[in-house]
Amino acid sequence: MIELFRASIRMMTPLILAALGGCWTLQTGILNISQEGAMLLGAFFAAMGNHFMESWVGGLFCGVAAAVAFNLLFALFCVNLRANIWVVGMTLNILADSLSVLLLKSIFHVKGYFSSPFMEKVPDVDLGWLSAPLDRVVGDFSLVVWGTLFLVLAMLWVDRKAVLGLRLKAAGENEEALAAAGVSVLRLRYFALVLNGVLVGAAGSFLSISYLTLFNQGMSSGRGWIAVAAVIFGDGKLGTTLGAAAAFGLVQAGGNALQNAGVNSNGTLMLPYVCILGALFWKALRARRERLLRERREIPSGA
Amino acid sequence: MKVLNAFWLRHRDPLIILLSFLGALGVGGALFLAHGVNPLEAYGAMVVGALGSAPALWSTLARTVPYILGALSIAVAFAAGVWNIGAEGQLYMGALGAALAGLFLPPMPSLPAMILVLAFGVSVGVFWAWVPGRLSLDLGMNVVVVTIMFNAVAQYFTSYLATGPLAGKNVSAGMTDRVQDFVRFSRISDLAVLHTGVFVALGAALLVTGLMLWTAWGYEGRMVRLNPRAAAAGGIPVRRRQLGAMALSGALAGLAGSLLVMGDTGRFLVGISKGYTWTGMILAMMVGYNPLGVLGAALVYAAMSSGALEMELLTGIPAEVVDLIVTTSVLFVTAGMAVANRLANRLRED
Repeated sequence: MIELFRASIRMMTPLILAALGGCWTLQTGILNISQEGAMLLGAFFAAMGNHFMESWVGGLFCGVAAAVAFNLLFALFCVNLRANIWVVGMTLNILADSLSVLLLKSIFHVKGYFSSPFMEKVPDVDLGWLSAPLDRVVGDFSLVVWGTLFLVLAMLWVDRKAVLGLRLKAAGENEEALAAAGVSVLRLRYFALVLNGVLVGAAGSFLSISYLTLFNQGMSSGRGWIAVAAVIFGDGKLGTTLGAAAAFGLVQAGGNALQNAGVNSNGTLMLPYVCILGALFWKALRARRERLLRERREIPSGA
Repeated sequence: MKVLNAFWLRHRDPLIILLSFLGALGVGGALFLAHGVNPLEAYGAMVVGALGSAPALWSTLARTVPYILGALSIAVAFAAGVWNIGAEGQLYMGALGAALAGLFLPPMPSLPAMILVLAFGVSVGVFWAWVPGRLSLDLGMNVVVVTIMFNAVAQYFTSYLATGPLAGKNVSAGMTDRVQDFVRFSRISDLAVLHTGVFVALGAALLVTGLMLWTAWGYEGRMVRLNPRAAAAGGIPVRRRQLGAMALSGALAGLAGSLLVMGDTGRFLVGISKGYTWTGMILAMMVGYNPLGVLGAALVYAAMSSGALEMELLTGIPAEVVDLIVTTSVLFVTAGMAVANRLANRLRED
């Protein structure tokens, strides 16, 4: 049970990081579907920065910087030029994939996999006497995990109580009203996408330099997409989005546990995707039922 | 100036695409320079590697087929405004279907057997597109996310079968046995894997090109993409057009998978597609979903990527630089179109 909890936390962390930023970006009216690519590049550059600077801080910085630059490119196309997000997002995802392979070959002269003895792991946090009774449960979590927990609380507070949270939602729901109030919609969207980049870059770094210190090709392995699914499931509501991301992480960890218990690995790897489809299907059915009920109620009152 | 302007207006989109591609080649050239390699030499090596000898030419042609089908599959869907990201999964399911039929069909004359196997592979591809199509069009689920999830499910499902119940005897892991000989396409030349299935692919490509460019169906699909509300108001059955585009897209992806099984590999194997529909997506977006453009882009990409191996040997620059060039080119096209549209609107407003 404790093992499952700890594995779930590890699985949830990158999903939650990506979903947090994705949710705020969606609130401003832009669905960021290039998270998979941003996470992959974040993971690659974190490993690269860590290798060259021989410090985890340098690695984290490079990973975050790469993901932010990547998101700025997305912003340039989708915010300024108003290009189609599917076209730009898919192009960037594919670009990230081939770029990581290209750089692996041209910088490190390796195919598909890179690790080095110069890399330094992001430190685990030792809570000392505070956690002593619960050490088996919450001891030795990576700094990124605790950072994520802090961010979740901070962003939930901003989302519910702060002006910024309100403005982000207004940017998506009523651009004109927000502009009339003297707030730049463009700037808010850029803010959300840059923050999204920071978080998804941290998620990528978590993959490549936290528990493991290595990068392999396609390392994000669908996590960016799972986060996008959580964002779509949450539909701009931060709490729901977080819940979905956490649930998907739990399913991933559960799948791994089943695999260790001897269930076929293809089946357990498929599990999260089937659950996501189920969750989205349930949500769509519910939305349709509500729409039908509303229509039925409106007809007599109109007649 | 006036002549130039008229020329620009008439051929705007192809010109943007061409200029973007040249620009992307320039970016690639800068990358070569940064590695201390003469770009002309590198591109020259690519051309020689792709077209320089008979075997090279044959293998370039063989390489083109799955890219044409993959890119057309995406183009059919995207042109009608359905963002079918799931062609990769449809390809895998189609390949699996063809392999199943090819393995277990009772002995019979070759021609009907091959038609049956193709039909089964294509139908499985259609089914794997039709379900997410229904889910998105009727239930409002996001088609991109649904098709991505379907890709993952298809890949794990086919991997499970290929490593478990259907795993071949005396072959390395992740492969089925060879399909029976009477459902295999024969090779055209000993020099490369090019097989007679190429004619099926070309036939399908021509059919789809005609359908998209010169029929009301294709025209209505484009209307649906550009303005679904106007299309609906104009009496176009939007849902039916989009579901049809989705199904045709799945059919082409399924066909690509079936041809791989019946021709190139002779069996289903894990990783049978080398990202054909992902590259196809890039190619289709590069040419604005125009099927003729897709044919040209697939040829150019196949030549570049096949020549890139020679270039990598000669200069030490990774062959993946080709993917970088085409994706950059799509970004340039997207930016170019956006700016051109904005300028056109401004001119009209003035």
